[in-house]
Amino acid sequence: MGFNWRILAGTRDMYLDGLLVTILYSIVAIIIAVLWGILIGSINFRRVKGLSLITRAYTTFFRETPLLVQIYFWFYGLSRIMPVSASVIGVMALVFNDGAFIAEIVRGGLQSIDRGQEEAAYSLGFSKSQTLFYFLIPQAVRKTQDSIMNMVSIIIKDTSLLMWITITELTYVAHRVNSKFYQPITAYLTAAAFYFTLFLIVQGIKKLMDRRAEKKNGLIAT
Amino acid sequence: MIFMNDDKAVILSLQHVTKAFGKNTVLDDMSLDVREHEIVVLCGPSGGGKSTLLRTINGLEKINDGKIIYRGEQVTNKNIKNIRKHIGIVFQSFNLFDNLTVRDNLIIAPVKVLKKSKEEAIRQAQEFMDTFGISDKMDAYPHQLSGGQKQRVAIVRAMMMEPDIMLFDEPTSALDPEMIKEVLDAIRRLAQIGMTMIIVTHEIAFAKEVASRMLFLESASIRVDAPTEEFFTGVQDERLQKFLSVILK
Repeated sequence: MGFNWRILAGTRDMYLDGLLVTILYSIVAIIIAVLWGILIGSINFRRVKGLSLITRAYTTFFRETPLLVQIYFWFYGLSRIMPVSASVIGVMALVFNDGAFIAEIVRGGLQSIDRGQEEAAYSLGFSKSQTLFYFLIPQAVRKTQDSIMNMVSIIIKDTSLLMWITITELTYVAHRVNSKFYQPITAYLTAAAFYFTLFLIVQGIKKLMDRRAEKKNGLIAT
Repeated sequence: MIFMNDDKAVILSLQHVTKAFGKNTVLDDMSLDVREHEIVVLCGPSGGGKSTLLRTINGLEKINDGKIIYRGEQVTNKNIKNIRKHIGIVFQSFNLFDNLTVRDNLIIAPVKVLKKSKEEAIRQAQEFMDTFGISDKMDAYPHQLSGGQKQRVAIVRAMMMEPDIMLFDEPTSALDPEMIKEVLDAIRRLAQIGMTMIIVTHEIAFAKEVASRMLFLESASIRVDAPTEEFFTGVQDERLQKFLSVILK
């Protein structure tokens, strides 16, 4: 046992394909989940009559049930009612689950903004939705940027669960390599190394964003 | 100094306005007319309802009873958004938009609400900033400004809407003494161009200088409403005398 470089050489293309699938699902899921989270977080914050009741129930339910259960629910449940591909279900499951966490982060950010910002906007004739769009959401997102970037890392890791619904992403590849060669250490450690690399890239982006935010928010002198 | 003149049009009229937070009545049957070019200063002990009165005019506080009439039109939930475009307000804590540069703070409302062209708005902003001596701060973010600079930007932001009337809610209360003057000078400038204003302030010397009319608010009602000179010399009111003697010390 131990790490077997020879196997790695033979399965390199499989891993790269899997990595590409993981990156693709991550990017799509991250973009939609962040937008979805901002939308739901804003509705929860505003307490829109009726609607907020539904969105709050949704946020709680999807945060407090396991992602794998949700993935199976959509994959086996929804596909009975209408024809949807596994890839659509995969993205959808990630968006609904991780988007619910982002919604709570955004709602917290919105609530922490001084009420004076809103009042100033209203006094200049802005509507409620304009006020959210131009002033509150940008400030909330900047305030919660770190937590949102943490969710980005989580979403990347969550894509590994999509292997259970036939999506040939990185973990699926590792699984196949292991069942072919019975080399679990090599198979899974390789996958882990790729995930960790993605994490490091996210950290790099986060640093760049922090530096930009500091310039704007004055956390350090400019 | 401009004195109350019945011939001038009434811009704003508060009629029997009542406002309570729970059981605590903060405005008790207040009535007030403000005419064009008048500068009305509200003073009085804290808790007298001064700030709340200003905020009701702008619809930031809902009233429980009475009417607010702006240029002959009763202010309602429906038209408040439109009326706000004509009423500028300057807050004690500035409330500049933290996520925007000074330039964007100034032009966003004219561009998005009044649908002015961006170039026109920037040109206008530059002009105001020159007048108030802060034209070098256009690219700064609010956190990079001093309190006095922030408040002057806030005044310009309100002026960019070309308001009919300006409301000032303790504009210098959050400022260090050396910055108070620059903000008061900015308000003096507005007085010179004949801007109609309602000002809540504790700067009594300043009030005496610019106000055409002074109001003394105490325990949720307007106790004294008099032309400035009379307010300081001719009004026989025990509470007012006591308040003035404390504040003028």
